[in-house]
Amino acid sequence: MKIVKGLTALSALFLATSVYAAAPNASMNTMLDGLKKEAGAAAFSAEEGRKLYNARRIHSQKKEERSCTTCHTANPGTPGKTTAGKVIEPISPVANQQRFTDPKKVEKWFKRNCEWVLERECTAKEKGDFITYMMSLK
Amino acid sequence: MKDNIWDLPTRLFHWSFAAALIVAFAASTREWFLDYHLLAGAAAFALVAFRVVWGFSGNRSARFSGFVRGWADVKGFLSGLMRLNPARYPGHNPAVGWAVIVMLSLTAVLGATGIIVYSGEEMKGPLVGVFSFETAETAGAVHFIAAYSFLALAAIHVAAALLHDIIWKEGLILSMLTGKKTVEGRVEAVAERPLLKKTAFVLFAAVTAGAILLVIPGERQASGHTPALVEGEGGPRAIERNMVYEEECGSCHNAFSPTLLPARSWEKLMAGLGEHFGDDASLPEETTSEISKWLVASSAERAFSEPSKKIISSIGDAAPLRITETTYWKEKHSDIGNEVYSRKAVSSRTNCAACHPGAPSGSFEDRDISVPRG
Repeated sequence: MKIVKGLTALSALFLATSVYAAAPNASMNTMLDGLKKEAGAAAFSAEEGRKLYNARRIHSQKKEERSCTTCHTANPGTPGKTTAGKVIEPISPVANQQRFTDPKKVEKWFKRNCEWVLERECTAKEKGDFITYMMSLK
Repeated sequence: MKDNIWDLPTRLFHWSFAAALIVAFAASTREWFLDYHLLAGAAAFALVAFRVVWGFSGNRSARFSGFVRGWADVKGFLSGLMRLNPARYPGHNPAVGWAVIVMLSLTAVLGATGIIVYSGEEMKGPLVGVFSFETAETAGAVHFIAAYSFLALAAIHVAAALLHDIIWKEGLILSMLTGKKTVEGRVEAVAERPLLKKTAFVLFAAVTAGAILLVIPGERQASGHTPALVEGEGGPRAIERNMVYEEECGSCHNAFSPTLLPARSWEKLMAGLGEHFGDDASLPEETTSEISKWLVASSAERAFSEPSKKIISSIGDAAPLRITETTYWKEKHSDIGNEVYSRKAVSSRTNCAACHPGAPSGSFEDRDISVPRG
């Protein structure tokens, strides 16, 4: 009996910690599920997300090269800098645990920054790939 | 014969008064010495209060009745001086007697106008909101004139003392240390006024305490900075932070203090977020209006802050969108080279807090300025 009790307690503890560890991503998983439905895609690709993050594009009005990396740098784990000179915390959730925890914020920055780089909103597929890439960072 | 001319409190007064004014004057040359200027000024002001009462209760040569003489005596003394043979007086001669009165009066004026400038222009201390910025500017001009008049008089005083000592060997300067001086004739005794004597010391302590209270800024934040005060319903209130502003605007650039631009600038800026310095920074309507309302409520016109007033008066009717474009900002930072802005800890001229650590709470105190070296 003692062993069974002990095992139950241990598994409960294990469950609790795994749920706790997964908690920050629960909201992102829900968001990804929603994006999957919207995009009509079965899965997202971290590799596609990586390409999107590094893609360079010339802005049609400003005639300057723009990319996610312009402000966030080529390494998502290092701090970046806005064009106005303000330091940006790393975008990688590994370096900055606040990242990709609040779907509202994620949507807000997609809206603003897709417009800045691509001059259009991002598609559900692009957003899904991007988030998947960021969550895959080690 | 050698006689005791100057009592100890008079001698202590003389040298502390001189020291306080030298410190106050020296500290007025750099903005970040303001605290020392204020403390030395408060001390000089309190010393005046002491000396006035001591002028009725000290010994014979300390009393006004003993050295303030009529025009005939002053004229007689001055004409003797012209012939290089001035009449000898045991205590103050008639000329320095009046110099004492003028120096004490000038210091009283300096103290009063100083407090007006501090509360009305620096916008600090418990009297913020009592004096208008314009009144404070006038008081500042009077303070300036009084200070240089005092300086001129002090220079004459020192020159005269040296003259008396070097040419006529009166031993004046030494007598102000030892209290003793060789005099001709007898020094008349005066009626003791012990109660008044005590009053002089009590008054000195009280005025020192009061003057220091008047020049100590009120609420200080955990960071050690006094937040800017802005107009509130029941008088000046400390500026409050707005997290929406800090989050939305402060993500891309520093969340500049609303006290640095007039309401018309903020309104224009918030109405044009779609084309915000070349970028689309549009926000949901309710967010825009909340931020706008907060900015306007703490705008330069409503702030009790020296840079706010000076920015406003430097731009006329214009509605600049960049703080760094205002005439006052440019003048104030004209001696700062581009090299400073490119230092790692500064990185941009929009990074106010690099050198003004109180910037997030609208505090740009002279005493806080510290330019990073690297």
